[in-house]
Amino acid sequence: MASSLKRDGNVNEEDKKDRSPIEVDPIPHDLELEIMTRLPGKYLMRFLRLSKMWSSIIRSQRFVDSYYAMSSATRSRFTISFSNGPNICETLLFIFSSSYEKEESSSLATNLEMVIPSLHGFSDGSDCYSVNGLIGCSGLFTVCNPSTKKVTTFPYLGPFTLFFLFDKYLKFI
Amino acid sequence: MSKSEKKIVLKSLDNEAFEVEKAVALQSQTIWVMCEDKCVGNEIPLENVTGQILAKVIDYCKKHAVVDGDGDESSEELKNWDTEFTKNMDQSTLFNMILAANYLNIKSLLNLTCQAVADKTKTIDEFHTFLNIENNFTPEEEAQICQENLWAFDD
Repeated sequence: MASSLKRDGNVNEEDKKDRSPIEVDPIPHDLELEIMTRLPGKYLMRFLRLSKMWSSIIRSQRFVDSYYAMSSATRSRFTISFSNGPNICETLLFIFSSSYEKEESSSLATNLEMVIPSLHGFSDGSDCYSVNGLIGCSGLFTVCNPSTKKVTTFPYLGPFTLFFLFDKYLKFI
Repeated sequence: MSKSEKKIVLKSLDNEAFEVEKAVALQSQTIWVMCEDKCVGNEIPLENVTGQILAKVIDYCKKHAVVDGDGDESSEELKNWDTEFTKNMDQSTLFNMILAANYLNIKSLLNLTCQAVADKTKTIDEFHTFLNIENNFTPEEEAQICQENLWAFDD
């Protein structure tokens, strides 16, 4: 039974013709988005120049939201930041990351994501915190996004400034 | 339930027929709904999928049905199998697999194939061809985007 079913003998010319349109069918837009949300951040920034339409899609809040949902569900990330030396003028902050998939391994292979040059008041007793893939550093309050390599430093308003960061703002960083 | 009721025949658009276990076929939500509604007999015509692609989809479903059933293989092995499964597929096969997984509504296969395309497609030109996108930037505009995101363009 199975062998006779495996290939039906009645494949006629018409059926063969039907095959070709499938190969050139454009992929539906929602599936294009499915693929795009799975790209690493770096490639996404590269693909800003795919076309005007894609450039505005990639920058849209809706896409950013679905990209974020996808990457927080599928990719775990281990971020390490450290700065070199006490001399503030020469201080650099290095940010490394690792995909951190194999937990049983004691060693960790990391990629250098970005290096931020000297930021005043950055090294002495300043702390770095990671929230949703962004890194916030106290001192002069600075937020970096290792995926887009953007750094934003907030203005210094006095010694006891308290910052509130709203989700709305995060999209611009 | 007799033996024949546990089997189901899937027929591709080029009339290739595949007899599979019902449990294998029901991983497709589309087929599941069809069977649930009793709107099809024992033979299901799939008019959007060619035999060549359907054979691969069935391979995938068989592998995943067995694992779900008796838990013989670890999820690690299954993951490796998935990687091997998409590793040697060319772009057009992957493209058709995505369309098939979407049409048949098999979430995990759609995930796998979309991720495979995202992993394999690294250059702008590949994306232009693959997604049939026309670049409508002027050279000046394009240069400006590159300038703004210089770090993304060096390897």
